[in-house]
Amino acid sequence: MKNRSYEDWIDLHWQRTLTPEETGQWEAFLQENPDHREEWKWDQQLMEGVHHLADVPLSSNFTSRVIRSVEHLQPDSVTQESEARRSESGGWSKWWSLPGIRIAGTSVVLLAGFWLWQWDPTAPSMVESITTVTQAETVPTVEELENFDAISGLAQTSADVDWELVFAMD
Amino acid sequence: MPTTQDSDVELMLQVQQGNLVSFEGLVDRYKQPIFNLIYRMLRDADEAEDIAQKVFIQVYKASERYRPTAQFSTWIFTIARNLTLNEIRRRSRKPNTDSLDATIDPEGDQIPREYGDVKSKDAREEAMRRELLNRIDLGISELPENQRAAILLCKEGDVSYDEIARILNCSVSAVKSLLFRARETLKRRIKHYVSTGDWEE
Repeated sequence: MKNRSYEDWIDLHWQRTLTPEETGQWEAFLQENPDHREEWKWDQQLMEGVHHLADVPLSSNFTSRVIRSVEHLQPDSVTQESEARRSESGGWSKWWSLPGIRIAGTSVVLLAGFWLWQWDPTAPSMVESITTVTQAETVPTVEELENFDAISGLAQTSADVDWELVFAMD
Repeated sequence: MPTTQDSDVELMLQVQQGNLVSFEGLVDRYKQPIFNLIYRMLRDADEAEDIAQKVFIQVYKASERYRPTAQFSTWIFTIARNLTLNEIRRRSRKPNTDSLDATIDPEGDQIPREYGDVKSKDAREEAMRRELLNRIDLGISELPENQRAAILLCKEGDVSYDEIARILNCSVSAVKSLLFRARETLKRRIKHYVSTGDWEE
């Protein structure tokens, strides 16, 4: 490519070292275009300056810090994997969200409960005990027994005298 | 143990098999250019180290998905540039005292620099050269973000214009345009500095 412009040459200089052939062409270009010589001086200065910028000092333990961080990543990834596996296998909650499955499941639980209740041999006696307890008369509370008015208000025994019994005793 | 002959792709394929030694080889190979790029984009050494670390962690995490269709350097510089851009955006949304320019001291030499073959040069000339390099470094930090990234990727070597275009997600002609504008700005400032001794125009 012999018809390079000045900017093309500068781009080439920035990208790589020129081959001997290119160097000859470049020198010929500058001889043909002496007005670019002055500009080339500044371009050269800038290019050298940029390429010679020193490396910025980096911590001496940088590599070991990176490796340590990466090693710490390993258990995390294992954890993530196992979590992912768990969520795949434990997808029952996803199924439970389906209404049909929910109704069927609830029915099964209720039927099982009913059957268990039916099957319990102590159930009839328990029902009898509960009935007896609920039918029993309520006993006065402790407060009522301590309160005189309440006591006098309680139902009294009959005031009729059994005279036959009295005479018999006499 | 990885050797310098092992290509980046070979090392990455070994990393895919869980080879941490190969990964260490890649970190050693790329840590300096990646850190240089991030530091010169952010001007904050601590933050730059954190981001550089994240770059390598991301490379490791994504190693299973890596396919050797593109150059490894393009891939890692793209990750570095994206993470740095995220940080720049985060800072611009939440400005604080640690601004991008907070650590830049135009008069000071904040990073110790070493240059080869100092003995053979005149001390004064060398001091002037060092000073000019500092100014160029400062000038780069003041370029717009995409021009800065383009010129720094150029500086890190072995990154072609095609690769820069892929990293910056633009066309090759756009890369040329970015570099042209960056060079023009820097040259103008160098000319001004050399003629007046003052960097600010």
